[in-house]
Amino acid sequence: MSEETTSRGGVSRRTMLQLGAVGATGVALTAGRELGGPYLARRGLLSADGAFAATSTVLGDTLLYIEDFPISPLILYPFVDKLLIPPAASPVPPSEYKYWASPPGPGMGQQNSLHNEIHQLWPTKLGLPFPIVYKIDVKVSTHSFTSSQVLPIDKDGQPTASFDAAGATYPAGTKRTLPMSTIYGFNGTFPGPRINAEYGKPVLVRFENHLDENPLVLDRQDFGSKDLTFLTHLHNGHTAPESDGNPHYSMTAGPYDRGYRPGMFVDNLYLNWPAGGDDREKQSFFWFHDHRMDQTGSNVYKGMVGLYPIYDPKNNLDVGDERKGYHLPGVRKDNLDGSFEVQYDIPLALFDCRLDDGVTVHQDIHDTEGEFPDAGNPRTHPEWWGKTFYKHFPNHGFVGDIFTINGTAYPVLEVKRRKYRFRFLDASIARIYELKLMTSTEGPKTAASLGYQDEELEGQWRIPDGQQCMKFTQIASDGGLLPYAIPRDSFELWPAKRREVIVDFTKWQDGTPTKKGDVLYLTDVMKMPNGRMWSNSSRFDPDPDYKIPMMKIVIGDYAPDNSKIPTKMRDLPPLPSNWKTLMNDRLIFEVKRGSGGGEIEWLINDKPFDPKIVANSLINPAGKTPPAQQKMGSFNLWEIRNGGGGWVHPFHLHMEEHRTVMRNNRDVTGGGDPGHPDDVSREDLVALDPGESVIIYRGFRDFTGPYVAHCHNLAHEDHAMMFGWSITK
Amino acid sequence: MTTITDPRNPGTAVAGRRALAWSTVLPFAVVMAYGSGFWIISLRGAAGAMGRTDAPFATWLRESTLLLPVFVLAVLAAVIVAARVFGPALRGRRTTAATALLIVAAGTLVGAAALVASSAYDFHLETTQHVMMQSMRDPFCVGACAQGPQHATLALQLKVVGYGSLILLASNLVLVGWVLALRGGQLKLTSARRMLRPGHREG
Repeated sequence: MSEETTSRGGVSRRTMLQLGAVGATGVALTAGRELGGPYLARRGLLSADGAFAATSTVLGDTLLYIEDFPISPLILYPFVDKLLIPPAASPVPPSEYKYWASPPGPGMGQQNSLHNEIHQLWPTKLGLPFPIVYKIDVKVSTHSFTSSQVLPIDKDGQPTASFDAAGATYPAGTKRTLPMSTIYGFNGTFPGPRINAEYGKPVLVRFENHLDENPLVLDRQDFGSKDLTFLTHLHNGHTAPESDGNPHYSMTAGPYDRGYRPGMFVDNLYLNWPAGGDDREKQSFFWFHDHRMDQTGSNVYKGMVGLYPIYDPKNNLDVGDERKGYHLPGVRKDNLDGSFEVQYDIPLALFDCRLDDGVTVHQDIHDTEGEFPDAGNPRTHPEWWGKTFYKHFPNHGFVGDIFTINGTAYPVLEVKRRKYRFRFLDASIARIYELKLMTSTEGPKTAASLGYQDEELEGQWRIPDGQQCMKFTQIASDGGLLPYAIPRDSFELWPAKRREVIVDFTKWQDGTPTKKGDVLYLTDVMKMPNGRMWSNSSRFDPDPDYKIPMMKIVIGDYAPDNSKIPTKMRDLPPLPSNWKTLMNDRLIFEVKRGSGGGEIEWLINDKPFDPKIVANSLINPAGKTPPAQQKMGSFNLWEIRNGGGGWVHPFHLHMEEHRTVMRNNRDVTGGGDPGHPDDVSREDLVALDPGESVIIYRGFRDFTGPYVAHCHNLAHEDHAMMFGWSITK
Repeated sequence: MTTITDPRNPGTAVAGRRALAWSTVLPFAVVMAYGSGFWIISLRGAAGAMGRTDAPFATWLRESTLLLPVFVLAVLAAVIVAARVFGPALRGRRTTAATALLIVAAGTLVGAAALVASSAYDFHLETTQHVMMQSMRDPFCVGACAQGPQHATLALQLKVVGYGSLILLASNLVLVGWVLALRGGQLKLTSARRMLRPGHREG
């Protein structure tokens, strides 16, 4: 056919095709720039390599690693169950523990039931008293996240069928009561006990493994360490390796295993003594959790979480008595057993979970490795309907769709009209929260009733008309009290991070007084549909419709208040003026996604975690790849890089707090990065946005031996994103 | 230089042998080589072995350039076949479309072969890594326990090859169609500028 015969209105077919091709190219380039550019930029992928990483991610997510998560049944009556505040644990009196078959003590063989270890630094060497002794049994037990009835719903938010352990099926629309979930818990509870500690008063906790005992014949389901071992880490206590509960230690000393087996015990000694004996290194809120190699996530998710606020009685600065020292909110009551409670000082452990819907296939790389053969995976488990669901090795990371605080979903807290101190902890596997205090005229509505589906159902409830009503006053981060209080509209809470705030419930942020019966909500405004990273937050592309009420706060009667919002608190340990001279010799560690065998591995410096060796740095500016070994008493710069791929990583370094000195090649010692205001505090966890690089200054004092550093996205940690390092004499 | 014969007019002197139109061969080879390279590198980023996923942009440039001669040969073969079947001067949309599909098929074959080779190497590396990690973590994991991850790895790489080949096919269809459109829907299999004497052979 000739060109002339195909001519239309004077334009030939040939020209039309050429114009069409050029036009399509132009449209594609413009659309890519306008739509894809901002998306890639938010994920640190706006580069030539980033475009490949983004494509790889899309391919992996849509073709290669398709995975389903259940939609938890809708909790119909939230904000009814009261917030559980774990009571202070009672110590074991000396009259009791001295008659134990193996009493705690400083001698060789007294540190664990294998009798092959000794406490590296017994308190008396520091002039400290004999430790206060606690005993915590690691047990199989049950837990309920809510007393509310639930309505089973599907991915469209519509009522769906449900099941029970006896094999019955309930038609769609049937309201149900949740079965108890099986947990592995410290003393059989979730969260576990709260140990209120004080600097200058060492604590020794005997953790004893009873996970082999199952008197209630509970179904253990298909997660939690298969061999029932445990390893407890006080995050981030300044402790010797044998009490640190880290896999580099456990595989090279002590148990010479991934953890302590049933029947064994270990005495973890927490000196409650700041690094280097420097008061400026004092911290204020620890938590203890399982750290068993390759199974930390599943064990933590199964309940192995405990709280450990620590007070500072020196000069009564922070002793839990608001009349003294920094006048932080708290009214202390000493118990006869030696423990103490502090009213108006409340720990809040945030945790998200998913409950089985009975129709989601349980399928995981661990099935191919022979774990939990009784489960018969891959298959559905209708008999586990309503119990916790866990995917050990998710491609996208694991996030839950039910938000809990201190083990209760959507609790209510009645407060007095006065100031409170809240100690926030993110005990989730991967979810990052951004918290605000909001009011709502219309109150919470279910996400399903608002027409949301699939991932948008996460959180279950929303307050569409939510408005910020109060500010937080941040007083502490991971590393303890800040030099000065910081007013915050909201703050991010990354996995394992702690933030302490004061909230004044006597007035709204505009200054008008509150009154009895007023209601506000602790609200999450960071949308994180999967464990990769947020899709929306205040820092990046806020979603005004995403307001998840996590806890209802009801204002009650007036109560006396002697607390103050302090203007000055704890000074930071000084940085040496010549810290930049250490830059060339810094140690560099890059965390990134790798591949390995049917699923993806998470690697550091291109290597999976080898618990028996210390890692080596990447080539540093001095041209060396030094091993991650530091002399006791030394200080150094370490750089942690996010190797990209559109993930964020909460990177945790054991043993001492650090100070961020550079972020993305910028000196931030005087502040300066608005996205990371906590860079000017001491921390034990580096928050790595996509593609970021952070240089930290840290010390290596008081102890020698093996430690670890790892990503605290527990799905990453359990799949090799960890490295061993050590302190030498 | 390669020459071709018109099967419909074997006796005609002028149409008997003509020079190949490299202006046809090269654009198709280039877009398919770099397009296929993009997908192969991206799939490697999704499921490939660690150590092969660094600096994907530079890797793409390098490997695509290395593959370019193979794509040139493949397109060349497709053009020769088309010329032998349809004649050196394509007449009508059907013959043009059929020739374009032949080019797509040839390019996809080369891309798929490269993908298979890449996946096989990934499988080898990942298996080695698995054995190392298994021995490091669980020396008692033998038999089915040790083979499970290898089977999963194999299944993953088979998925990569399967889906990847389809992606390459779709990508090549789009790219060849795009180049064809840029050329106004016309394909020249021989160069009109240079006529060769009957019986003369170059190259």
